Amino acid sequence: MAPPPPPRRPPDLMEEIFEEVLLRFPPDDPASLVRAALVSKRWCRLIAGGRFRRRFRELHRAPPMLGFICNVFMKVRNVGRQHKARAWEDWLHPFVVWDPVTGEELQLPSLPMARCRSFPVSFNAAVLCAGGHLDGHFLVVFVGMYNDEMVAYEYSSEAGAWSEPTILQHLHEYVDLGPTAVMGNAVYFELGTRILKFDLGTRETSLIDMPFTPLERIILVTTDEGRLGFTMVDYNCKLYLWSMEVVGPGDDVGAIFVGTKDGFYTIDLKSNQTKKVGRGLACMKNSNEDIFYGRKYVVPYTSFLFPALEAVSATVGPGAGASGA
Amino acid sequence: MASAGSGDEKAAAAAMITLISSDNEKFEVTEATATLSQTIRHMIEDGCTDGGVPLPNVTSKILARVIEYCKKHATAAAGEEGSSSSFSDAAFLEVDRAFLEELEEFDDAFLEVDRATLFDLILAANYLDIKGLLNLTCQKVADSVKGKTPEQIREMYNIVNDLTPEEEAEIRRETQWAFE
Repeated sequence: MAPPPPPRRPPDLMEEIFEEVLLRFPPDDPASLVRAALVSKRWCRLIAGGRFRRRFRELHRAPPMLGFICNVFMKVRNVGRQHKARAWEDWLHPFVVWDPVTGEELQLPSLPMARCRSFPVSFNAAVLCAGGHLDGHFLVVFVGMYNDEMVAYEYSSEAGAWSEPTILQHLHEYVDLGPTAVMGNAVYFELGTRILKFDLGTRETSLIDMPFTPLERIILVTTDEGRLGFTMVDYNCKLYLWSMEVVGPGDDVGAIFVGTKDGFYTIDLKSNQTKKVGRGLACMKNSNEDIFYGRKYVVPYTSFLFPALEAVSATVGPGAGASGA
Repeated sequence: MASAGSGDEKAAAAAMITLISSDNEKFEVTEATATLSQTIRHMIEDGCTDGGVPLPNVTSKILARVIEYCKKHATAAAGEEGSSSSFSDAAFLEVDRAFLEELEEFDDAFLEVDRATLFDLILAANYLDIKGLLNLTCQKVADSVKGKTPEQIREMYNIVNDLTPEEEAEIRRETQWAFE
């Protein structure tokens, strides 16, 4: 019997090989992939392509934290000392979405007036990727406390408009202006003694009780085992972490941030290892009191988008472009 | 080219596979070694290995290296299976660790080749679908490329820059931080 023909050699093997090589670039050094994208159109298309990104994620599993954004000073308008009319005008357009990579700012339209006639007693908002992470569209979820009702709105950048409100009546809570958590298809807001869940599919809200009434400030966290939880540091500087089962992938980076007078630290939730990631708060040019008691918000990030890379790859059809060997 | 052996010969060679390089050199390997290649594993499953497996994309020089890798790692895989099923005590784990270290040393030494050979190994690993070897060789290239500028990478791999100056400027503007 004659030997069967060997498997056909796939065409354009070089590109396949460079794909295999580029997939093994370190995930915590995105600059190296960006530099490689500038080698040629073909490489650019390869790196910016959905297939490569999907494979890169599969190979490296949980993305490492690339960096974080931290507010050094909390810019909160002091309404009391300002002219009422001016403050009111500001509240008509309260939200700006900022792209930290390009520095672009997008002013969101004002909240629908029927419900939000006045200032909320307290409020918070979260920005999230819409749909498939990669198309650049985003959602903003606003939660505001008005006297005895809580109002939630969802803004979609694709629709360019706020949704109909979701209202929870006879609720007396304080919406904490702290980090929110995204888990599965829901956003979670901290209300001081309870957690508010906003379902992104149905826009329904529900409340989750905490196992106790926290005396200290808590921070919502998600873990990569699909758990939602919160952390708290008590007077004895003990760090606590509670979690509950929630189904769905979270936006966690597997670490929590702790700010001390000496500096900012991350604590890896798996290994318990700490790493100093920022200078001590004393470096800030504010009075000591403000520094020590000031609230710092930290937003870690694991990925970002580059429209220019996408643009180049969009100009080249499959199979086109040139590369050497 | 096909060698129709007698029944006795066939029985003796049941667990052996013949690989034929592009320059027509024949290599006898055990099935355990050969099946590290998914491509060959599928051919064995389909019963397509009688008379040897021609590998027209792989030279004898590269095939010899690939077989060297597969032999070492096939032994490792067999060792692992044995250890997990029957032993779990500390002494055995110690042996396991020593073996893993030895394997790592083997891999390091295996990669001490010139760039052309490394590329040929990648091509062979890709064609034969040997995951471990593909990972090892591609990681080696990735490590040597990741710190380089686009100009250096083009020079290393003889690639023509076909990005327009406008496209390049736009990407650089958006990603300044990557070049600092």
